[in-house]
Amino acid sequence: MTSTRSIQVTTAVLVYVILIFSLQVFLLAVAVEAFLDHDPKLAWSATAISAVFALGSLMFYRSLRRG
Amino acid sequence: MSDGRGVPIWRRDFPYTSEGEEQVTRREFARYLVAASVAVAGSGGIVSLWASLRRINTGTPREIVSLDQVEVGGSHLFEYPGPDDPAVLLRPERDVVLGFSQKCTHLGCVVYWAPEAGHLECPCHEGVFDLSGEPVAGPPERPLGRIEVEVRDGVVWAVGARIGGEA
Repeated sequence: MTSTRSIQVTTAVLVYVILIFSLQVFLLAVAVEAFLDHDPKLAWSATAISAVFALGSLMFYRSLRRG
Repeated sequence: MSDGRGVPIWRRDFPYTSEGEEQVTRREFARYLVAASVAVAGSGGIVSLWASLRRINTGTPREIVSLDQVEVGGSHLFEYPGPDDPAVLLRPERDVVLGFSQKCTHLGCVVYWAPEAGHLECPCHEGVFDLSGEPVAGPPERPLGRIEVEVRDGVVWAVGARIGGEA
């Protein structure tokens, strides 16, 4: 991969990871709100989605390391 | 590999610095962000686990007040389910009694009964709750905790508390 291409791919992955992280922060706020509302089901749902996002984030990073 | 003082061996063999070598690369930043992403997911797991495992005191049945002592359209303050849980008993009609937690679901201020308006108000941020405990104005978005009450031989009893998603 050329240097310019490599930088483009890295930047693209970084943008995806930043977006995923932003969504996760929102989901953590949802989980805390659910905690305050005594609603563990909603808290677990938010956490499950957050975990999927974290997995996606990890896979993006792995693809970056392979590339 | 490092020497005893935590300095990498390559740094000892090549003790030169270059401008910008302390800067974080895109890849490093991505790595930190991925680590933070996993940490945030883990934090959510801890919050969820805590929400699932904590026990909520829903109270045991006990006498509150004689019905005669609460006038129609009036209210009576009491503590339920615990001594630190302020609650309010309302008697909007002759045969209707309602119990609510006094903790506002916005930031926990104590709500009070406004008889002339016929609703519960939170003085801190002007939150308003109707007689079903639902928020109708102001910043609160969740209903008030409900105290189950019933009249037994002319005496009002609190028989349990329902709070949020546990209701």
